[in-house]
Amino acid sequence: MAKYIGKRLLMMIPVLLGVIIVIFSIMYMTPGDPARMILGEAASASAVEELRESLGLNDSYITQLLRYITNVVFKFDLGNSYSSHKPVVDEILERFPTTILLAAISVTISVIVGVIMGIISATRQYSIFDKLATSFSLLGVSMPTFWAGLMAVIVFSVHLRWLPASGSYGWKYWILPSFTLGLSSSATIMRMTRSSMLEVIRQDYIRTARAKGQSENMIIIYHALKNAMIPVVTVIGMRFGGLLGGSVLIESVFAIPGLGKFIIDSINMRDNLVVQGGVLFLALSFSVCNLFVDILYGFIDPRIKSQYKSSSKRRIKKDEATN
Amino acid sequence: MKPLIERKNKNGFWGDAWCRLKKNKGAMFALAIILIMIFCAVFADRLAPYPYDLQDYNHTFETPNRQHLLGTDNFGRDILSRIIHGSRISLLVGFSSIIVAIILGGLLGAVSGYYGGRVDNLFMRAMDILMAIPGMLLAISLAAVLKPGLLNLVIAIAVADIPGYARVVRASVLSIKDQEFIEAAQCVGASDSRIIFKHIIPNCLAPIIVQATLGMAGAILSASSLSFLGLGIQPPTPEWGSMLSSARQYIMSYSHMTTFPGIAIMITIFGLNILGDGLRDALDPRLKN
Repeated sequence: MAKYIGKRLLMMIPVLLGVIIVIFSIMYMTPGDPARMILGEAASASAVEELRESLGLNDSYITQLLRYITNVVFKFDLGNSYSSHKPVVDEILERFPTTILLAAISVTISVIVGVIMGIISATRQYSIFDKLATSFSLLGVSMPTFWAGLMAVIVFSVHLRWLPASGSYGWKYWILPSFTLGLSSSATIMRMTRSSMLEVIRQDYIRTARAKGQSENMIIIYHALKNAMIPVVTVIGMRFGGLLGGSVLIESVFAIPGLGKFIIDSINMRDNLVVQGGVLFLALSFSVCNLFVDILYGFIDPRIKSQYKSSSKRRIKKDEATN
Repeated sequence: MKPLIERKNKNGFWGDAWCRLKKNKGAMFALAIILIMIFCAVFADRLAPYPYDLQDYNHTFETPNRQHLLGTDNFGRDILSRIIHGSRISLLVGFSSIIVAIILGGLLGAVSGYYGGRVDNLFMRAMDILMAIPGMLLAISLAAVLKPGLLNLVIAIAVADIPGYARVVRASVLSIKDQEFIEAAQCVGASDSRIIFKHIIPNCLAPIIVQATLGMAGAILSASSLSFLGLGIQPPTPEWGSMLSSARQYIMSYSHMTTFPGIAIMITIFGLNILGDGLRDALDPRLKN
């Protein structure tokens, strides 16, 4: 298992380097002069030129790319923000916990709602509940999350006046955004749980469990759910990554001071280094999240675990044979 | 003379798939939604009760009424007309970005699946890198760099979608390329490009069509999200996302402005999703459970 984790970690390195190169290159193409941005329209041409030189903006693309990579990899330095002049890393770390917290609360909501609804739908296939739940999940998948957020504001803030519409000054401000995100992604999780449960319920070992007289609840929880969870875990992991990307929209709708809103604000201010750093940071968290899901498989699915064990054993035998 | 063996498969693969699709009520309903949307987009000028940019300052912020079925916005423009015209942009962006993504992604996937080895490794690692960036973020950063506009919106969405198609096509190419008819084609001396375009691609069209239908829903969603953030279509042009973006300022007092464009997005995506599911069941009956 440790060997597998190590291998996955090693495989992440070239991908992340690639991500840095892609994002740097995209941002490199941005029209507009950062030096002019920092100094403002009134600054003289010579002052702008001087700043360009000192920021290294006159160097070639390759030199700038290599410098950026070295700074990121070895010093964890993403440069300084053009507008606030503070290090981008500090600015990101200040806002990242908000984004992660929002994603974590939403994923928790979506897992609880999605898995429970999925199990009930699968065990009572074609019942009224199943039909209602499936149609709601179809609607949920079709709704743009940011619009769902706006509609939630209309209902709960404008008409009912129960919850605040935007900002972040206490737990009440978190209810609308996290439920909007959570319920909209619970639709995907519900659909996956339902179809995966339906498949597992038809297996022979479930019939065996029934035949030996086990109670229905035990069968569902211990025999079916455990086996049905593997594809569901993938979806949950993907949703978490999607939420990190989707946080950009929902944070803008609800004016939550997280990383997503920071990126959008910086795009509008043409603060390239912040956008670059922010996107990089989110992509990194996304990859870590995917890695975590892959590792989790090994623990959930003994077949996968044994595969790694047997393959490493086989390799050892092969090595012995060649020696 | 009566044939000795009656041919079971009269209609061919596509005819059979169409028969299966026709039996699926949900999918036919979804197909009707999509056809109506296309009809609206094509005949927007005739269908819309008012020109989409007609400003009427005596009738601003009107809630739905007889003259304006869905009400008017802050410039007194008819919201229904703007939604009908908006279907043009959404369908156009959705369709063209999917076409671009399919052509590029499909080509990459077909080449890497067919040749395998080093080419495959190189292309697939490149796809891994693109997939490591959440799609929405990649589209946002591309849209931020390119100037706002229709073409650039299409590019931003298409690039983020390429890896998905490359993977689907590669997987189907891998499953097809070792079959006997490919070997036969190679034996009679068909060139690689002929084999890829004439034999392999037609045989993996089914998963591509399914992925494209579902992908178009995603593309329309991304387009409206980007426009909502101010990175896509810019305000005077009627686009559902940018209509929502400008309606947002008035959400406290005039919620009808926010409600209707969103419903339009939802209906379109709902139709595409159900149609995609139906197509998957019809084109690949093995997957149905």
